[in-house]
Amino acid sequence: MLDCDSQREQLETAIRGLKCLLSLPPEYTGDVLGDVQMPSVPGCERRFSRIYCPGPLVPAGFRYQPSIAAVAREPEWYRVYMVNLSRGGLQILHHEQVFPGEHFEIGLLDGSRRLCRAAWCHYLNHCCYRVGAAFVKESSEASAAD
Amino acid sequence: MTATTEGACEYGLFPIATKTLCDGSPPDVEIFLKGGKGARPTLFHKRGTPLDQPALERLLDNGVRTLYVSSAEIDQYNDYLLAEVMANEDRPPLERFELLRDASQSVVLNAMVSGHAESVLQVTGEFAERLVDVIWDRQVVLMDLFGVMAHDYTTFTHASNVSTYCLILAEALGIRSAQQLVSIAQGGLLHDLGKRHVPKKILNKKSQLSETEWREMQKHPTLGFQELCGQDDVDLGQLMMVYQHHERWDGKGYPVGIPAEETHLWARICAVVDAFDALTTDRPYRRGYVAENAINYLDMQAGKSFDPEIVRCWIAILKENS
Repeated sequence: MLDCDSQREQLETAIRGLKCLLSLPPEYTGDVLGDVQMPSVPGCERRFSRIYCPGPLVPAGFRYQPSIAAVAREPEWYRVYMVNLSRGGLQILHHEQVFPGEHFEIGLLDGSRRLCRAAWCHYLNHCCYRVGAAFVKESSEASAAD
Repeated sequence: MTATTEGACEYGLFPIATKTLCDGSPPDVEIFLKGGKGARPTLFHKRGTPLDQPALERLLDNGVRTLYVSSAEIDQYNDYLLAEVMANEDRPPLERFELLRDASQSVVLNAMVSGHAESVLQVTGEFAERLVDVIWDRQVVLMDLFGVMAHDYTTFTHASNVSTYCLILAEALGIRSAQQLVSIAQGGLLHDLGKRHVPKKILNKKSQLSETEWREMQKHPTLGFQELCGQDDVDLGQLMMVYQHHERWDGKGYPVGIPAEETHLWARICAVVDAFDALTTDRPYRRGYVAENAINYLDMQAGKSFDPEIVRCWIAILKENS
């Protein structure tokens, strides 16, 4: 049986192998999330404190879940990067615009997968968007963006 | 929602445009007149009886542009409007346009109050089709049309003006598909739908908004998008008209701050005419600009706030028809 560290390494290798079309802005040079306390953004209504992810960018797997009929999405996995994480949601960097209310699955380095609902999205450059999302409770259709 | 219509809505009544009743064959519904401050609405027309046309004329002469029908009968009224009034080919196109404009304002208000996205889409879709019928193939001369656009700003006059302008501009930009033009006209009617979730005290505020109030106001594209995106009948372009009409060419808009090339064409069209209508209509805190000043403003903002190609096209249309 693999220990936790090697499991994490394997997951990280798998996630790093995912397609990634992100083009990071200059402040992320060296694959490091430099600005730990990123400023709050309009539309962000999370209630619980966040754990930011300073230092080397933390990768995660990302896959759209069908949610908005008019918005066509490929059901493939992408590599995204985490900005922060809290009990109720997370912020990620993704290569394209995600619309409010869109659902996606996120695969974290601890092996867990969470269904998320996007709450807001901000443009950083043409291949980098900062996306805030709430975890969707399994028993209910949607949770508040906390 | 205006203070006057708000009172009537408390009684389960929806506003309708008085002019739409001037045909002599009234809809089979009860029609109410709003009471004075705090008073209950009074019955103006009893179902199954002939409509008192002289009394209706007097109301119009006295500036009563809105009457009311019960929420239970709004569907009958809308059926009457579409079948008897809008489809009447004997009416001159400009008159049909004016009726349609007045009626669409009621439709948008009803939609704002009713709260059902599905019915909002159905009703606005039907009206968008009529609008395309009237305006397409130049049944209406644009110069005449600009002359009868409503210049008193409310959320509702604004929606119908934007819908009409979007349609004209889209066609001038080369969009020829009737289906797409209907979608665009409908998107124009819906573009500010999210404002129904913005507190009325903010929407109707006459002085400058505070930072907090401004943040609330800025939520309306997202709220409108979220309301419509679950509907099967809405297409991507319409969703983008709702979601992206406050994005700017230079990327300094909201909610995403996305720049020009990433914004949907229909949203860029909507942004230009939305600003034009906002500038040229009277607001509680200022008189509307004359068209020339609005044109100068749009020209100045081309390449900053707005797509310069679209601004050029819109200005050309305005100048041709002035």
